[in-house]
Amino acid sequence: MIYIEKSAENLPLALKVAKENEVVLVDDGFVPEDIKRNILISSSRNNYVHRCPATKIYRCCNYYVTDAAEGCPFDCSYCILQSYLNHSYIKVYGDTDAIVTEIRELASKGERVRLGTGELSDSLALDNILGLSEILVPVINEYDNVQFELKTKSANISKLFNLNPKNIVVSWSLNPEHVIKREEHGAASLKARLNAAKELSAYGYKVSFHFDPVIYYEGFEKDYDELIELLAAHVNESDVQFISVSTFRFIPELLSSVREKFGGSMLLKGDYTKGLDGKMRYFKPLRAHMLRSVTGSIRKRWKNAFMYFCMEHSSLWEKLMGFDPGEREELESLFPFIRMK
Amino acid sequence: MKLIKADFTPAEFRWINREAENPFPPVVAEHEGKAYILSGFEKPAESFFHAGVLSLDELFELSLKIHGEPDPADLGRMIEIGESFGKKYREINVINARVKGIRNAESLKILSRSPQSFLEYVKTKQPSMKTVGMYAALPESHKEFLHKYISSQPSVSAFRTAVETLTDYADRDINPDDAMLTKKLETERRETRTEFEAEFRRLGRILGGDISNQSGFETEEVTVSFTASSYEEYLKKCAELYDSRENAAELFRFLKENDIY
Repeated sequence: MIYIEKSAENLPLALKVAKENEVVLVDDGFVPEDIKRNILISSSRNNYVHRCPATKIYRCCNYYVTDAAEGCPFDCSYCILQSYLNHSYIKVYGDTDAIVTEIRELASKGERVRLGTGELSDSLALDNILGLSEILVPVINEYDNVQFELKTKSANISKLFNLNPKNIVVSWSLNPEHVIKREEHGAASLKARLNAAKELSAYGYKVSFHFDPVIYYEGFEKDYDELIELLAAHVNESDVQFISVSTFRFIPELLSSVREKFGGSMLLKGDYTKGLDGKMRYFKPLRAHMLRSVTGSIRKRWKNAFMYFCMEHSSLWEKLMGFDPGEREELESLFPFIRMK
Repeated sequence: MKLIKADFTPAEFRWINREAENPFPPVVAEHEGKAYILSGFEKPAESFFHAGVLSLDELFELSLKIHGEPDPADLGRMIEIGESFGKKYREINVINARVKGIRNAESLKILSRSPQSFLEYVKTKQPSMKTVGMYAALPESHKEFLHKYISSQPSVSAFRTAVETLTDYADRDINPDDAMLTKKLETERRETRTEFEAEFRRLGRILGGDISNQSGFETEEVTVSFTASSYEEYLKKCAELYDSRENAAELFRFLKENDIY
């Protein structure tokens, strides 16, 4: 069900959604039944565009995020949202004009930046209903200094075929099908994601892939290698903008949420240690093995695709990539879009 | 409430498992044309205290007055009684005040069907609702392990840890009679670092002090410490550390080989 707060009724997104979908108008303060099928379009305000939260200790890529929605129809066991949000329904900010204004403010600074919507929600999972891509993509394409990433675990790409792919990167989080079935509840199958990537790259979009989180289990090496083989069969290296690789990490509170909802999850069998930023990670030698294995599989197929580790220790960069990328801007300067300047 | 003689057999309205003894005749009440017995379930009786015609909420309120505060298993039975009258847990005042959310309601119902000895443990130790919820979600073999495990009267935290470990391995076939099960599962979990830690400790010992790493092995920083109770002992320990200083090279080489630097 889609609910629209009365005070949001005339906001741009609410008008757009109401035109194309059946909606229910509700009083401000209304709380929908707390299920992922419910969407609440709200008039509440947010700091829409901000830097991705990071720490100095682990290398960060200086990414900007746009929070247009909070909550996700998918129920991935490892997702930060399991413990970060106190609701399951999806809250969407109706004032897309305000979001656009903040994007324009960032863009008008003139620096080359990378921006994305996939932090507190999946960028495309609800795009057939909300159509945020139709609002945001044309704005981004007015600027040459912003690269906009739509990060997803869906194959919900129909609206993108009506848009100019100029400065847009569509990215997929990937895991072996076995992991998708057990841990990425409700998300598209691996095959569907890869086919979507193939179609969009053929249309002209740049595509990217996030092997994040890589999850440890006996025999993971073979599964990830087969996944990468399949990926390389679907997508040409020249269409790939970047690839991130990172092992499962989480705030300590997440594990008890996983226990409550997903007993027997693969995540619960991990042996974790508290990192220097307070987040839990796999034991470092194991992490090194996992990263080495996945990056090795990628390099076997794609020699030149730009690869980076998300929030990883400088020593593992040195060991596995041969250099320490440095903090924020330094790491970001390695990205193809930033290098173009 | 008046004392009546009755030749009918009332239906049971019973959520309490063990009733405290009392000298009074059982209490009955009528609800929608049917008589329900609220106390004295085990007592053969010809006369009853008749509490009148009551609503379902009043039946529950009166039975609570008679038996006192329900334990978690009692609550599970109360929910099931409510459901037998076609009511959800949240539609009955005394239950709604004590049970938060449908997940908890379902967990309590499952708990109430557990063996009596297990329910006694739960009543005595009062594990959290979160722990009860995890227990309720376990497969039968895992629950059976816990039914045996509580015979040693583990502390609440030991019980919670056991429930968590079993939840982590809920997808695994287990032998509920294996008393060492949770230890084995924990060992399995840590196997990627067991050998590493044994070697780290060995290298620490030949340094002549107690060795630890405060960063969870994210960095190579190690703390070497010793305790001394006298000046003489202090000098001796310092000398031991000095004599074994070359061994530190092996320690740091070992850490680097394991990507800890």
